[in-house]
Amino acid sequence: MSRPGAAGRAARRERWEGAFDPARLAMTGVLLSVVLLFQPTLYGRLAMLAAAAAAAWASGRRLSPITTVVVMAGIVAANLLVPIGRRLATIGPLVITETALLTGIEKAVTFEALMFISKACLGPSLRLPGRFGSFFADALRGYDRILERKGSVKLEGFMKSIDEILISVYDGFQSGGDRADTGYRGRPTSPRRGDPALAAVALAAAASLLIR
Amino acid sequence: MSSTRSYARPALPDGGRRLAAFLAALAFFLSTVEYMLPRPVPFMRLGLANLPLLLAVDLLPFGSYIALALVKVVGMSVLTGSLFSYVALFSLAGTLASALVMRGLRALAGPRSLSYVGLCVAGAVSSNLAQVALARVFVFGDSARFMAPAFVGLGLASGLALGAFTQAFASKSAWLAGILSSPSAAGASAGGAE
Repeated sequence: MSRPGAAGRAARRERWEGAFDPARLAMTGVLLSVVLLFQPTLYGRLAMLAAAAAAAWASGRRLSPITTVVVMAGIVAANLLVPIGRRLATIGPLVITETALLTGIEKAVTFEALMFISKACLGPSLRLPGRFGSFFADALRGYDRILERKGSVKLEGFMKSIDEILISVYDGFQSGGDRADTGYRGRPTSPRRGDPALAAVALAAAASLLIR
Repeated sequence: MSSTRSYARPALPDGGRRLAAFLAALAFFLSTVEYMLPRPVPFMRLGLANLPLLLAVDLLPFGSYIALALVKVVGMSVLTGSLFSYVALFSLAGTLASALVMRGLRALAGPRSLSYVGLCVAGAVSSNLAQVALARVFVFGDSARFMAPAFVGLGLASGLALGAFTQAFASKSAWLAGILSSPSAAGASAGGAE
């Protein structure tokens, strides 16, 4: 029986994937990542972090607020270890300095915002072009075949169960009888209802670079 | 592959492309399996997804080997949704560093001289060093020097564990034995593929 949280996440994911073309969503993700890295102010980065977190939630990806907070706190704390700038406070042996604190916050925000942008803009349905894309599609096809057997993985006899899965899947995969289409067409797919939203987000993000 | 097996890499009909894709699929799968396993310490991973790369050192020609390393990073980043983040950059640097170090060491010492444990420790430590170097630039600044010893220590521990696991898997795996004894592989066992 699935938990209510998981069911909600699956529903959000289905809505999200229905609204956006995977390639256009990924391109928007690339643009947003670049805009984030060139964002001149901490407030701009914070705004992008909040928006990206909301989008990642709406996309139905599994998120962990506790991990996010722990990782951000760790990055800020690590940056405080080397004091730089005006002294703000002292906690035991730790001297909190202004530049180190702001640098740490900026790096932590950037780190997590990039993660949320990735989560919102990337999914397994993305298909890549060229020979690498074909190779990648082959690997995903093999992954699907192996996943079908995941129920036979046991902690006891783990190594043996993995070996048995490989034996059962490998020959069919090698012969290529069930070779999958890469899914990449090299031309735009039909419009989706989320396209205007993607265009608006891309424009707003680009415009934010002008705000000081 | 145990140290008693021949070092010659099998000659694969398509330059190892299909086998590389299958090993990448195995890496994705092992990553999924590891996600489900309990962790002894939070944030500590064994790195099971590196097992295929370790096996590939002795199986694939160089081009397919590097393609496997790249598709492992890109694929896992797409599946976990981290491709545009620093995590993917760290993963790329770590994977390429360990892949090149392991391949370089294998060129110097065959399986009789250097086991998967040794290869894996060298790969894990070089991977962690590359990631610490990037973390210094992008995340932690000068404080990275305080973390380097712990990271290298973790690399050592996880390298030892994964190397021992891979050594045991390779010596018992009927699947791997089948690849090495396939007609194309057997036909090429005299000279290797590289």
